[in-house]
Amino acid sequence: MSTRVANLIKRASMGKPKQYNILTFPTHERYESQLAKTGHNFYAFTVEGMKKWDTNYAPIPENYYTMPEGSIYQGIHFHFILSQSKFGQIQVANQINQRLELPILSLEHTLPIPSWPEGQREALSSMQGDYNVFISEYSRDEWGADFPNCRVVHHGVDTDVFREIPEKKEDKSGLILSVVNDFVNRDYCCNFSGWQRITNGLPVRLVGATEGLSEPAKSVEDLVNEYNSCQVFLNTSTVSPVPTTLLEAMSCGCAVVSTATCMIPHIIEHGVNGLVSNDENELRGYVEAVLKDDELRQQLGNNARKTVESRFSTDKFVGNWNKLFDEVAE
Amino acid sequence: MKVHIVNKGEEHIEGYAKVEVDDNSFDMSDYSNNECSFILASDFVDMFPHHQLGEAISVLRTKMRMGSTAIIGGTDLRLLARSIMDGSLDTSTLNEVLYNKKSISNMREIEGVVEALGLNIVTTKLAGIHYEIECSRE
Repeated sequence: MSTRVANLIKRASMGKPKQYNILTFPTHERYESQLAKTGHNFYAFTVEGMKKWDTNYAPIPENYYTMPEGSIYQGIHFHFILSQSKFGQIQVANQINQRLELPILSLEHTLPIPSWPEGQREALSSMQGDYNVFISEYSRDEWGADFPNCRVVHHGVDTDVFREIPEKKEDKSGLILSVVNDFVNRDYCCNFSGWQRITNGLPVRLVGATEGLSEPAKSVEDLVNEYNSCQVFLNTSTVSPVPTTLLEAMSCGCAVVSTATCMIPHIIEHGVNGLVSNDENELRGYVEAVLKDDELRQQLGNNARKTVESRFSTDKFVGNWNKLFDEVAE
Repeated sequence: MKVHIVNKGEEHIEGYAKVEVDDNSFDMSDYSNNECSFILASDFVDMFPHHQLGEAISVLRTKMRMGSTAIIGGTDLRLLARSIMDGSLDTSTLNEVLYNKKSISNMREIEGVVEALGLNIVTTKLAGIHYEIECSRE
């Protein structure tokens, strides 16, 4: 009897489990912290050289387990594999799956890079799971292929954690905050050079792991304090479907100024819950305007918070993922 | 509480409580009776001399809470014998199996031990010369 048939028989005889055992890979700590709120068991598979969970970004959730390098325990009945990247993970997932024969759910956080040589996007698009998930409609369309069982699950931000701290907001000595990891090396998508031009001579605060430039926040609490201590949050990304940090800043009631790229114009309505442009001079002007205008800053920040609460809540995120997990496991 | 039982010095699943078996003994006194929701003991049976198996498995039973499951595994004597006879096990692996384990049992016998302790057998799985019994406490 094949493993797949045995898995099906076992699941049928056991009925629907309360919790799924999901085999995955450490990828994006704060996103996975949110995923863990679905209540299922996440088992991280790693091999030497593969990314490990970095507790600087988020503590490891209680239902997230990391197996020793290269180990998979057949005693743990995995229900499916969750790959979170077409850049290595899905290939490893397929390799593992030759033995496990489980459904593969392929989640993709990133976008194809415009400068890729011809054929690269098509090659990566062909790396598909039995189910395929994107974090925005924009990303799904950019990948372009006809993906089977394709879904979009928008980000969810924990608005209880990423919240306004009124006493911090009262401090007017704050700066222009940007939160980006590996900023210089990721100039092609995070636009470090544009950020330099826009903020030249202005009071900036940079947070994130970039060697020689900035340090990451010491904890999530520390990051929340950073968002609350700034006067304006600046996002300069050019190729990022929905930067998590942008949503976190909005959730903290920050007035945000951002490039109008990818999914961002569908989230930020210019002048309502943030200010957007793809012109560097305009962006600089918006930053200066927000710094000077308390009322504008307050209004943009309040509306930003409302946007996250209504469209990117944890409840919605968890509900969408749980619905999908049920579908995959069946 | 999820528990992973491993040989001394062996890596465990991070996020599980680690219990090491060293020189035929292990200590689960840190855990109350009926506290564990899942016990993963994939090589447990190989870690004890044959005459201690019943006692060792009964310790696991006392720590399992209602509705919990345990995976108890080891090397199967009959599968090992067959592998020797049909030549599918090379000498090096055979030596490793014979001299690095405290005992070799057979799955049917361990199923009997598990059932005698009042646990239900959910599934059994054989892979190569290794077996795993998934049992639950109802």
